[in-house]
Amino acid sequence: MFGYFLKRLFSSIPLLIGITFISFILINLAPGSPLNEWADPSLSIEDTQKIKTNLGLNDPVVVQYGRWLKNALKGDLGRSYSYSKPVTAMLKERMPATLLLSISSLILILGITLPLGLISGAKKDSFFDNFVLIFSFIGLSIPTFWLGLMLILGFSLKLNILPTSGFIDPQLSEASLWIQLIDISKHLALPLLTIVIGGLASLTRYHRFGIIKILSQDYILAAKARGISKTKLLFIHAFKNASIPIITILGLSLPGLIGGSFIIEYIFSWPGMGQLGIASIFSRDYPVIMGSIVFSSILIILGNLFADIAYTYADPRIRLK
Amino acid sequence: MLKVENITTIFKTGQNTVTAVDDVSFDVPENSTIGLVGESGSGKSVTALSILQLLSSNGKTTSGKVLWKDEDLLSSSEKSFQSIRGKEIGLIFQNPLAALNPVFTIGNQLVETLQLHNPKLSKLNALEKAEHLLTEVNIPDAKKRLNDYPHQFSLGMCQRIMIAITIAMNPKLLIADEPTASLDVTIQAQILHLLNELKIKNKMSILLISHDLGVIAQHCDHVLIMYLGKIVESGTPLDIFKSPQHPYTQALIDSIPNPDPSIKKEPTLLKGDIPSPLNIPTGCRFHTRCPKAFDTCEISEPPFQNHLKNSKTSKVACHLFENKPK
Repeated sequence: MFGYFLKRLFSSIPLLIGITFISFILINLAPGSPLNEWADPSLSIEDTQKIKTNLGLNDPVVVQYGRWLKNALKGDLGRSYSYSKPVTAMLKERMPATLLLSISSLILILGITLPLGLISGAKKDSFFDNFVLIFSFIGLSIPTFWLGLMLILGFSLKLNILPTSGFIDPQLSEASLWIQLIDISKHLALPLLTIVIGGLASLTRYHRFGIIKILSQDYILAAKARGISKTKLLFIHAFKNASIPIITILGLSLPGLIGGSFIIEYIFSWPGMGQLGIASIFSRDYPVIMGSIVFSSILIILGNLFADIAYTYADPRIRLK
Repeated sequence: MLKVENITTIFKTGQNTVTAVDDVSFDVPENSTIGLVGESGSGKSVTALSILQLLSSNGKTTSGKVLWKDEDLLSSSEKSFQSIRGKEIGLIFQNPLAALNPVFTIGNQLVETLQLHNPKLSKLNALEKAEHLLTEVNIPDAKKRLNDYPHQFSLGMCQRIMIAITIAMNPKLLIADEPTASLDVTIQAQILHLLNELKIKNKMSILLISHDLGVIAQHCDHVLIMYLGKIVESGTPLDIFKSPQHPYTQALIDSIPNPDPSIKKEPTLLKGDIPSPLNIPTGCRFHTRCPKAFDTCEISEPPFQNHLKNSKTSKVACHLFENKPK
């Protein structure tokens, strides 16, 4: 298992290089220049050219990429054009907020989806099942960014019980850890809710379908014929089988979860990687864009790797020798 | 021991109601093997599932009694049913690989069953018992194989494991629903031999459901022929195979291929397929395919009676014998 893990880890290096290469080319193909954002418009053309040459922006794209890759392999992702800070330091600063948001939303989505899908599937076509169905469709149809704005409107502006945006109230920098944590949770509530509502629907439907399919299998009937109770059938026999497709779907939806939270972070001014990434795209801050891409790619590759490993644990038929 | 009395099982599909088992009665005495024969769709499996009340949610046994040691199972609670299923009546299926949960080890599934009906049994003792059961059904290297998953066994082995799980609690009745239909002939013989051995050793009865008349003739004490939800003929294998009376039974026996190439026989082919249970023919339900049908068959349902002079065990439902009672 450990050997497999290492093999997969090594084989993802070329993948990562491919992703960064294509991204680098695409970024450079996009119109606009980093200088438009922050250079003084009164600079002469000669001076702009000089700055560009200094930044290496006049070299062929492939040469630029080679230089970026060489430094990146050494752990240096360059400096931000806009902030003149090392990209790695900026990413490090932003990472906790993003991880907090994605991991807590993942836990919450799973925690709600699994029991909901299980009960819906076991009580197919019941009132409860139809109720969940309607809410799933509503959840699927609402665009997340719109939902985010509506939640701000409701909870922050009308009810005034939750903050509109940000991570923590700056005035609390001296307060005790406990008070800080409560404040962070208050800030976390709305972006979290937005992501969870959006992510809930499809997973619940998948899980419900999986449970229904498994409950009609011979081995469930055979287990029932041995006198095993309905609860045990559902929570042990059916659940483990139904978890297999859930792992696959989770692995596939990780990019969406991370990418999706980029927009949410922007709406709620959540100081995470997503907000940084989107801001850097608007300002053509190439090193920061590349840094965000590397970070999210690693996250996605790792997510899929863990999904594959979890898969082999859940399903003995594909267990590695 | 088991007395099935006039059970009728229906399924609701949309607007329609399908009668899959219609007024079926039979007995399974102690230490006997009863064969239930019929084509696909004749209601054999539904009869088995009705006994244990394992019907899908749209199915219901609407009338009749299933008497197990003089207690009507159909009116017993789900809770008391759970202690009968597996413990007193076991059920094995046609496809053994599908009937074993793919994500749990064989040992796990055996131990679960053992501990379920005997909560005081320790895990260690249960594992020992599980190993013993696997050895009993001729799985080599039983101790090691307890940790294997169903897909790591051949089909024949899976069926033997299924038998081991089912007989774990020494049930008094084993319902075997086409236990060898998905297996090779040599494996079939092994499995049937094993079932017979266990029957004698554990003093249990077997309700053997099959469409294979050869298997039935060899292993059963009493045979029931089912057609479209009704039993049309019953008797000892001798009655059924030496002097089949119902035209359907005759056609079934006629269609058994003979392994001797020098004998080329043309079987009496039945017209068409078994009619849809949604649209059961009037009168005798076999008259649409019966080579000997006459006017009465279409109008009235034949009574199920004894007509054979030299056998008390034989019963048949056919108008051909109406006018010549014994």
